[in-house]
Amino acid sequence: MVKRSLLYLCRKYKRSILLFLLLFVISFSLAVGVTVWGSIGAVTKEVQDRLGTSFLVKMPALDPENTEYTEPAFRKDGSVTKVYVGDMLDQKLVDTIMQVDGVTAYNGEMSCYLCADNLELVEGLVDAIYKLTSDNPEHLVNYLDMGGWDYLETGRRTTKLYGNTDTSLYQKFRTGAFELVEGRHITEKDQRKVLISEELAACNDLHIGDTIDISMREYHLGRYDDVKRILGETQLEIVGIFHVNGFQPTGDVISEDEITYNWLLTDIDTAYWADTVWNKGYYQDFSYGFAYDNLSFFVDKPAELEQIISQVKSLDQGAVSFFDISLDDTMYKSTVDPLNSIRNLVAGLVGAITVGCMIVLLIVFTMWVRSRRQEVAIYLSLGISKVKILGQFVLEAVIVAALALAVALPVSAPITDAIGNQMLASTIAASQPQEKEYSQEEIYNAAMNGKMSELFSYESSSYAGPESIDFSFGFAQLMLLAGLEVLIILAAICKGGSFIYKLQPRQILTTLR
Amino acid sequence: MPVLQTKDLKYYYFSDHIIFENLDLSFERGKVYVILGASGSGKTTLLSLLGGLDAPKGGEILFEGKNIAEMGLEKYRHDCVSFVFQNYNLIEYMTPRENVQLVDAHATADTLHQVGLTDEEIDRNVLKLSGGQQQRVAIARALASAAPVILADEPTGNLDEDTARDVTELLVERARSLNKCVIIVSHSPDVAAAGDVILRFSHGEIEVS
Repeated sequence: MVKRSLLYLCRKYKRSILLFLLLFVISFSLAVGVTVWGSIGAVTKEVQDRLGTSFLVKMPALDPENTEYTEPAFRKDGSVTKVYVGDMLDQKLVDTIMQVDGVTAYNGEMSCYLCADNLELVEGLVDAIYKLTSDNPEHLVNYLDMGGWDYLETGRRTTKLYGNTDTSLYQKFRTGAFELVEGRHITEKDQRKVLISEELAACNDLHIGDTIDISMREYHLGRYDDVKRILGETQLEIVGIFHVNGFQPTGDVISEDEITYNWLLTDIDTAYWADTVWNKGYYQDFSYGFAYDNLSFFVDKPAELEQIISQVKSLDQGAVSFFDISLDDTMYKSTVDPLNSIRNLVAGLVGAITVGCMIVLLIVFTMWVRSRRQEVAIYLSLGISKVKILGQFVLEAVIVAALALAVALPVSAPITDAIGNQMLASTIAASQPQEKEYSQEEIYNAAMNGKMSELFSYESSSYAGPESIDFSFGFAQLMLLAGLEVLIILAAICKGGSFIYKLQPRQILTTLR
Repeated sequence: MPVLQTKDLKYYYFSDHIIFENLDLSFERGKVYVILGASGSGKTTLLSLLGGLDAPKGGEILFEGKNIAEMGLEKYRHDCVSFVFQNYNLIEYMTPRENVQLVDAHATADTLHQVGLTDEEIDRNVLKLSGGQQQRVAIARALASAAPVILADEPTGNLDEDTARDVTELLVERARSLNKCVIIVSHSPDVAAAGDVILRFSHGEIEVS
C-alpha cells in the first residue's frame, strides 16, 4: 500500500502538486488559527493564574444601632460616640483561613490619611485653594474656623497611605495599574518602608534609599483647634518606585489625597502605627486592635477557587462565617474577556475553515477517486481489499498533507504573529473604557460630591494583560493541527470514495470490460 | 479432485429470463477450457461467477471442495483466481515490473522475460507498450499470482491475428507448465483450437467437448 501510494504521487506529479497547493492553503490557514487560539489560551491561563485566583473577605454591612456590635466610647473632647467591638479582619482570622487546603497567600490592607512633611505633592485642590487665597487673602475667612493657613498648609501636604502585607499582591499591581519600575516590593517583614510613584520621585528628586517624613496631625482627626499639632511622626525609607499606567485625574478640582501619584504604599506595620496614633489621638481610653481594612486570599489552583471558597465559608472556628466572602473576579474578568473573545472568534474561524476545507476536499477527492474507478476495479479484481484501497488514497493525501504542513508552518509563523497581535490590539482598544470628555462643571460637581472615581475609570475595568503576545507554535498545536487535517482528509476520502464500498462485484467486471 | 466445480448452478436476470440452470461442471489443473457461444448466451456470466465477481441465484461453486461464498469472495479472488481481460486492465502509471509486483512482491524480471519482454520494456510505462505487449504483461501478472485458476475474458479481442495467436500460445503454454487451470471466454477459433476442453453455450444449455 505504501509503495502504491508513493508510485502514484510520483508518477501523477501534476495532480500531486495541485493537491499540495490545496493542502498548503488549508495547513496555512489552520496553522494561523490554531497558533493564535493556543497562544491566547496560554496567556489567558497565565492571566487567570495571576489575577483570577483570589477571594475577598470583607466586613459585612452592619446596622450602626445594633448594640450587639457597638459600645459607647469617649472622644478626647469628652463627647461620647459608638465604637464597633465585634469581630474584625484580624490576624487570627487570617491564620484560620490560611489553614484551608489550597489557600497559599494573602494580602491585608490598611489605609489612613497623613502628612508627607518633606514632600512636594502633585498639586491638587487644596494647593489651588492655598494659592488662590495667597493671591486673594480675603478668602481666608472661609477657613478661619478650621485653622486658616495652618489648615490649608496641612491639607496640601496630606496624602493617603496604603499599608499592605505584600505590595506585589496589592490589587493595583496585580491589575497592572501600577508597575514597579525600580527597587523591590514590600513584604510582611518590612517596617518603615515605602513605595512612591515616579511622579512624586521626580517632583522631589527622590531615589531608592532616601527617606520621607510623615506625621499624623490633629487635622487628620477632623479637629481644628490646632490642626498642625503632631500626634505622631516617623520616617520611611524608599525601597521602590512605581509607574502609574493609564489616565490619572489631576488638577485643581481633585484633592491631593485622591491623586494616585501622591499615594504612599507602605508596610502593614507602618499603617498600624498610623492607625494606633490616630486612635490614641481620637479616643480617651479606647483603641481598635490590629485589624485589616481589606483582606484578599490567593489560591494556587484557579479551577478549585469556588470549592475553596465553600470550604472557607463552612469553617467553624474563628468568626469566618460572620464576614462576607466573595470571589474576586473583577480584576481578571476585564482582561480575560477580551482574550476569550479573540479565542472564541478564532475557534469559530478554525471551525469554519475546517468545515469549509472538508467540503472543498470532499469535492476534490470525490472527483479524483471517481476518476480512478478503473484502477479501483483492477485492485478489487486482484483481491486487494476495499479497506486497503481506501487506505492507499488516505495515505497519498496524508503524505502530501505532511509535506504541505512542513512548508506551511515556517511560512505562517511571521504572519501568525502579525495577525494575532493585530487582533489583540483591536480587541484591547475595543474593550477599553471610553474616556469621555467632561466639562469643567462636571468635573467640579464630581469633585464636590466625592464621585471623581466614577468619571475616570482606571481600575479593574481596564485590560491588564499583555499588549503583545509571542504567538508560537508548540507541540500541542502541532498535534491538534495534524489531528484536524487527518480528520478532514479521512472524512473527505471516505465520503468521496464511498462508492468503493457500494461497488458490487458484478459492477467491477462491468467497469473492467 | 477438480480445482473448480459448479453444482446445480443457476443464474437469471429476471425470473422469466434464465441464463442457465442445473449446471454441473468440473475444471482441473493443467487443462485449458474454452467457453464459446453467441453474445448473450451466458459465457461471460459464467466467468463472472467462477471469478467470484457475482453470486449465483442457485447452486454452488466449489474451489477444491469448499464453497467460495463461505470462503469470502475477496479472499477467493486474492488467493484462488487471477484474471486476464480483453483490455489488459493494467495500472497505467506503473511499469510492467510494478504491475506484476502487485500480485507477487518478489516477482523478478524473469517473469516478464518469460512472456517476451526485454529489460528496457520491463521498466517502461505500460502506456508506451503495444497492445500485444500490454496483454503479455497482463498474462505475466496472472501467471505470477499463486492462484491456481486463470480466468481470461476475450484475451485476444483487441489484438491483431498474429499477435492474438502469439498471446494465446503464450498463455496456454505457460499455464500448462505451471499446472494452472485456464478458463477462456472467446469468439476466436484459434483460441478454441488451443483448448483441451470446449464448452459451447447455446440456448441455456452447455455442450462439453
